[in-house]
This record gives sequence, structure tokens and C-alpha cells, in this order.
Amino acid sequence: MMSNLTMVDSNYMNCIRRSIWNEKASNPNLIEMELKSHKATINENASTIFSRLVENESSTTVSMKCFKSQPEINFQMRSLIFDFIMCCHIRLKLSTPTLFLCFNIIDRYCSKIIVKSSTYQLLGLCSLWLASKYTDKKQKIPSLPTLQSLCCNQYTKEQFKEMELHICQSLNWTMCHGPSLDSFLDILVRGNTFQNNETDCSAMKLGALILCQLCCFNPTLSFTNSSSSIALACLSITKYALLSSKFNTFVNFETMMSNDKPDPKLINLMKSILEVINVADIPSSFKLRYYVNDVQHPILKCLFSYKTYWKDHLSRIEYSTLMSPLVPDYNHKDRLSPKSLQMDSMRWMQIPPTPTTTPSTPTLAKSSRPSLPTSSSHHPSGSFRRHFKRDSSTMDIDFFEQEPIQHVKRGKVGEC
Amino acid sequence: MVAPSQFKQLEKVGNGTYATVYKGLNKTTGVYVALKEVKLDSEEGTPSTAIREISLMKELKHDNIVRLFDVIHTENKLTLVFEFMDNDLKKFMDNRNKGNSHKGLEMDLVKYFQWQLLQGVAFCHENRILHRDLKPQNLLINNRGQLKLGDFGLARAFGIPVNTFSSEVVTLWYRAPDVLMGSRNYCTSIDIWSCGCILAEMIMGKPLFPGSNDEEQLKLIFDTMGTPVEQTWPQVTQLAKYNPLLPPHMPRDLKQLLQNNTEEVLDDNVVDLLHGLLQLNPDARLSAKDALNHPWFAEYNHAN
Repeated sequence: MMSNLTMVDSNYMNCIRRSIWNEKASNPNLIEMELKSHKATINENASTIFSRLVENESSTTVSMKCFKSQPEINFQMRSLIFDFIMCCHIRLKLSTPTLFLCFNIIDRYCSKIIVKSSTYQLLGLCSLWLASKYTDKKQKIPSLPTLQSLCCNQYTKEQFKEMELHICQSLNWTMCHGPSLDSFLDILVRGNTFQNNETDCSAMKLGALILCQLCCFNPTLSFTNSSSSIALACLSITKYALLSSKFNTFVNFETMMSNDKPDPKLINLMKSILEVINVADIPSSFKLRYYVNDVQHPILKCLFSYKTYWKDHLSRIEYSTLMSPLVPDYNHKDRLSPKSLQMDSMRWMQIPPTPTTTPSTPTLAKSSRPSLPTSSSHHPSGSFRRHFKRDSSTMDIDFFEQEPIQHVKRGKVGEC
Repeated sequence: MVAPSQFKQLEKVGNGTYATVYKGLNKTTGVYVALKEVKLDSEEGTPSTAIREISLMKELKHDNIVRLFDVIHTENKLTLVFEFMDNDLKKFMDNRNKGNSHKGLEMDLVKYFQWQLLQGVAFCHENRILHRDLKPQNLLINNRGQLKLGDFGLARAFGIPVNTFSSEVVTLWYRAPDVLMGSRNYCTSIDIWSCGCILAEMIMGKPLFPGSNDEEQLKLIFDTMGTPVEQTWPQVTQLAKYNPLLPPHMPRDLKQLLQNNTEEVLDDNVVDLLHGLLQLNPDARLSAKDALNHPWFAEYNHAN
């Protein structure tokens, strides 16, 4: 009889229970205390965790050569698919590791199996599905009908399920082992190298995340470098970009870092990343995520203006030594006066930098939630993440109903 | 790839969180295995629990964690091939209880099991994985006295720092007070609380806090461990579920409580370890590594 009762009411009970848990979980003191205990464990295990991540990284590599030998798909399609996936990821409000894991699954599958151009999108969505099942909360995992509607019902449910299993089997069920870029960022940010009074941890994390995402779109960078080195390079760039904007002057990473005798490979990677990022060809999904009303997120602005600084610097050197006839890449339009830039980021820092904010979401009201512990001093990305979670947790009913259609117009690729 | 016909399905041994488990025989090697069958015919494709369990267990190779040998896909089900274990800790203890009398395990055995349990948990935490459902039913043992963590259906990799997870974790009796009081930011300390409950249960032969709902569970915990006050757990009075009208209990003498339920003579070390594992304040709870270095385990630590 008991079981009968629970059967009938289980859905309703789940709803109630969830709301009670949500209510209970909003206690900042408890969260604070647990974070403290968790941090202690992390500190104890950080080096082991890091080396395990690096181990996993070496067993989940991707191959540029294999991708290039694909008969039907190419780099251009790859960036379109990645852009489409990132749009879906934003609309579904999935967690950050899901995106990186998904990109990794797509590339690993393409390094092993020949993919038809007509199934590339299916592969992308199934990878997103798998990654989400691995990392996200149950309520967040997209349902099959949702996935189908994301690609205008181009594929049947059977095709989805078949592809999902095929990915699992082809990657020998290690599909979720690829360490996501953000897990490296988390560990690195909490390391001493990046902690000083002059940098804000949550800004560092966000800036580096954006750079990492941009790197994923570039095949040369993502196929030829390990996740850990990309994460490190992106963090270093962000660090100097933030310093530059803070002191209104170009802080050259090469001269600054030379004191620490860094790995020349790291410097080269940083240079190639700076070389590659370009405000003109930023994927449309980034505009969806990091632009509000066509205004760049200040961190993004800060990163791009660092690139401009760096290009200026390079061309000055090159002119003075007459080594190379490179034309300086002045981009006056994007270059703001450092003062206003600083003001901007100050303003943004106070608002939880929730990247998915749409004009219709009352983020400001949320940010004024009382006394959420601002633990950024000892918990790098804590405050950012927590706000992010909080915002999305209130919106998990049905994103199609809640979200205005405006998103659809902004996204370019594969949207319905 | 292993052919499904390679295994002969024998009797059913139990139901996991999301699947049925059978004993099986590998016909080519003659080795017994556990076959966990997961149905695939639903709308959700491969269940997320299966994806997590397979991914996590493929990564975790340790003497105190059940090995996943293979995954076989047939028509509309997945079969996970696990190392076969003769028993689980729950059944093992139940077999020693006759009628209403409870009998704990011998202290040497308790120590050996607890050591292995903590080894397994420490390995999970080093690999940034939370088990989240530690209880005697999920601790599998074989005839050689080895204990291994099984059923990773609720486990997951944890973020650094933590994410908010779902609320469906840890069977009530082994659930930490911070979780009962509303925390969803589960971190490694929730596994440690469960380890403490299991240690006490092995000594007494019955569960330490057998509550039937959240409120009763908290009451049982506070009855024994004392009602938390600002001194023992800073800021506890500000927690959402903190009830200022709770009758203030002094912590009961844990040693006396355990001693009343066992014929073994308890030494102070084991009680001290138990206190370390069952700290109400998650911040004050031992880590798995700390626990392994506890003096109670001196003989194992010196042997290594």
C-alpha cells in the first residue's frame, strides 16, 4: 500500500521536496562552512588531483591528422558546429564543464570515426547530451524532444539513442574522462602563482574561461596543445590583461615573466593565442553570451584591448629594428580609454557576472541578495559560480517558455 | 569487445539503484562475475546514472573499489560486468544477528574493514569523486575479508570548488547533519560522516542513527552527539533549520553507548576516531587521509 501511495504522488512530492531543499540550501553560512571543509580536502589532494587530470588528459587526446583525413567534414564546419553547440549550451543553461567536455567528445570521436557531414550536428548534440548527463543536475539534462527541437527535428529519437551509444562504444566508455579546461583553471587559480592582491580571482577565472572557449574554436590551438597548457596560457594572459587595464598601461607578459624563467613553450602558446583572438571574427555564440545589448562584457573588452596593446607594442619593436614589414593592426574603434575601461569593469565586478543574462532577467535585483558570502579571497571563483547557479536554478522549468524568442534571432547557426 | 554469450546468467543477487544484478559465470575463464543490467528502452537514452557509474568506475582502479571489467550492449539493455563479491556488509552483519539480539563484529575485523573503507574513500576523494551513498549495503566483501566500495550510481565528480548537487544522496541513516540541515553543496565531508556511522554500526551490530524522517534523524543525531551550540559549531544558530527550542542535550558518552552494545572491550583510540568522523560541524570533520593516519590504525601504518 505504501508503495502505491508513493507511486501516485512521487512527482508532486519531488516538486515539494525540491523547493524545500532549494529554500534550505540558500543558507550562506552553511555553504560557507562546507566550502571551508571542502577547500581543506582540496588543498590536501590538489597535487594528486592535478596529476590525475593530466593523466586523463594524455589518454583522451585528439588527432589533427585524423581530423584532416575526414572526407566530408572540415575545420570550417567544425567551427559552425561548435558555435551551434555553444548556442544550445547557453539556451539550456548547462554548466561550464559540460561545454568543454562536449567539445572534447566531439573531437575525440572525429579522431576515430569517419563522420558524414549530415551527422556532424547529430554528433554534436549527442556529445552535449552525454556531457550534460555526466556533469549536470538531473533536472538540467535536456530531454530527447528538446534535443530534437534544437535541430528542427532533423533526426529521429532512434538516431539520437543510436549515436549516443555509438559514441560510448567507440570511445570505449571513457568518453567523459577528458578533463575539462575549467577544472584546470580552478586548480591553477587557487595556486599561489596567480594569487596576489592586484588581481581579482573571479575576474581571472571568467577572463580565462572566455579565452579557453575561444581557443576551443581554433583547430590549430585545440588539436596541438594539451588542455592544461591552454588553461595555463589563458590564465597568464588574463592576469596581464587585468593588470594592464588596472594600471592603464601595457604590462608586457614577456618581460614580466622572464624573471620566473617560464617555459618558452608557454610564452609561445600565449603569443599564438593572442594572435588568434580577434574581435572581428568572434563566434556568434559569444555575442549571445558575453554581450548585453551589443555591449561587450568588460572582461572581454579588457582582453581585446590587451591584444591591441600587444600588437602596438610588437609593431613598435618591429619598426624600430626594421626587422619585418608587418603592418600594425590598429583597431581604434575597439580601443577604449583605459579609464573608462576600468570604470566599466568596476561596475561589472559588483554585479555577479552572470554571462547568460538577458535584458529581461532582473540580475540586478538578484545581486543585491543580502550577505551572500563573498569568499573570493580564499575561494577564487566561488562567488561567481554560486551566483550563476542561483540564477539558473530559478529558471529550470522550461527554458522555451521562459526565454523570449529574441535569442533565436541573435544566434546565427542552426537555430530554428 | 566481449560477446554477451560469453557469460552464463545465474541467480539474481539484488537490485541496485537503477538496475538488476545477477551472478554470472564467464564461460571461457570459469570466473564468477556480477552482471548489472540496465534497461535502455526509455525516453532518456542511456541513463545518466549508468553513464556516471561507468565513467567513474573505469577511472577508479583500486583494491578497495569494485572493478568494472566490461560493458556489453545488447538490443535494449546494457550489461555492466563487475568483479564478483560474495557478500555485502549489511547481509554479513545480519547473518550474525539472531532474532532481536544484535551482535557487532570482532574489533580486529571492524578495524580491518574500516581501514579498507577509508582507503577506498580516500582514493575516491583524491580522484575528485564523491561516492555520496556509502552504507553497509554498498560495501561489498568477499571470503578473503576484502572490502570494496560498490554501487557508484549516485557518485559524481566534484568541482573545485563545489557545485550544487541533487538532493537524492545518501540513505537517511548515514546522512550528515549539515545535509539534513539543508546543505546541497555536498563535499567530501559527507562521505566521512557516513564512514563514522558505518564504524559505529559494525561495533554495535545495529545502525547508530536509525531515523525515519529528516526531523527524527536530526533529533537522534543531536541526542547522541549533543545539540550544537555556537562554541562547538560557530554560526550554527543562524542555519535555516536550526531550532532554538531544541532541548539542549549534552553529548552522550559515546564510549559508554558503544560499550553497552558490544562484548568487545573498546579502547579510547577507536572512540576518538569515531568522534573525529562524526563531528557535527563539517569543517571540523576529519578527512579520509587524516583518519587513515589515526593512532587506532597504528599497526597498519607501521606495517607499511
